[in-house]
Amino acid sequence: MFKNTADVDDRLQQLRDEFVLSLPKRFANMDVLWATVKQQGVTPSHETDELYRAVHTLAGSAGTFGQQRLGDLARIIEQSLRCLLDNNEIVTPAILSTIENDLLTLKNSVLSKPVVHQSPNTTPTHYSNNSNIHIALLENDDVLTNIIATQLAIYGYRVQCCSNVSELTTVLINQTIAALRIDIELSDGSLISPALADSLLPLQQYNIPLIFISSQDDWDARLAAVRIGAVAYFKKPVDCNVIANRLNNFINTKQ
Amino acid sequence: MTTLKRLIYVEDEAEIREIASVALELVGGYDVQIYGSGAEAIANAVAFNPQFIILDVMMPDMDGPTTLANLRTRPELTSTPVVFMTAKVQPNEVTELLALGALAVIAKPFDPMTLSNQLSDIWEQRNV
Repeated sequence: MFKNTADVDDRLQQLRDEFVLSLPKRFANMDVLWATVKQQGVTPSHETDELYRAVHTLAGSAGTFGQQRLGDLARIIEQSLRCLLDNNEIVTPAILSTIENDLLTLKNSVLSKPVVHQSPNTTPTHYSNNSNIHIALLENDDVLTNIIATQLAIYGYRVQCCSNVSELTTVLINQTIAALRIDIELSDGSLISPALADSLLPLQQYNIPLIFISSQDDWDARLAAVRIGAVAYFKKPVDCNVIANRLNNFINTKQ
Repeated sequence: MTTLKRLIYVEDEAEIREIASVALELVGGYDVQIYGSGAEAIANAVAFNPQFIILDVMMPDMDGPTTLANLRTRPELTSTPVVFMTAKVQPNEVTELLALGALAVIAKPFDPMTLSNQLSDIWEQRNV
């Protein structure tokens, strides 16, 4: 019994994206646990149990979110840990090295298989009530800004374009903004710089959904976005239909 | 044959609860209560009067089998059909879970688009 295929597909895609956004934190937690386990040995302990639970959870969940390879790799690590714990095997440096390599492969597996956005069957008529909804866009490329603003206008959104954080702050103070899109290659062509991240952090007080767009697809970029409150992260090129759908979801949820 | 409408799912992982909600409510059309722990299920399940129970196995504080044992002490739930949903799917693990009275063990990861069909099949075949 499908409520609405497009709704279900979009909701699932949103959950897949959120899962990917949660991975840097999970991997960081695993790194901390693994560092302790490696030091104390793979023996029953709180850290070993937590690491086992973390990889077990990933093994069981990643495939549900479209990351089958990640899940398969997590299962390999889970089984390695289980074997060591159940059989009381002597943990040799070679075994430790294998697990460490598997953990590294695990992290890289997401890079090699990013979530692919499918084209939704969306029509602009779904968005006819958006005319009072303002989206702030932080982007310093005028051409790209115009393209994005024009496309989102088709869906009824009003786009406030800002070329720097100072302009953006003024817009946020003076208008009610429903969502914020940030192109993170503003200045140096790659990641969010520490200075930019610092300047964006205060924006969290406005409790506005932050959506990031970047040609980067590495963990550093995603982690940087997560740290300043990203609710979605899109790799370029992006389909404006997908962005509009996502905006619609966030704004409806917020309302 | 009674149609399956109300079911509960006990799962500690928030992301899995979210996607299961889509799979069971939006795709399957079931009336579902999803609990984050065995304790929450024990406190609320009787009032919801579920026709079917889905349990995660590996959960902190109270695992799936212990949750099942506790739910079974409630007269209203002594014979409610149960399935386990778990990533622990080694043959001996599945055998142990079935020995606890589960109708089936659904392997994780699950496909959110087909999960409700799986449950429907299990429900329809429970007396066959």
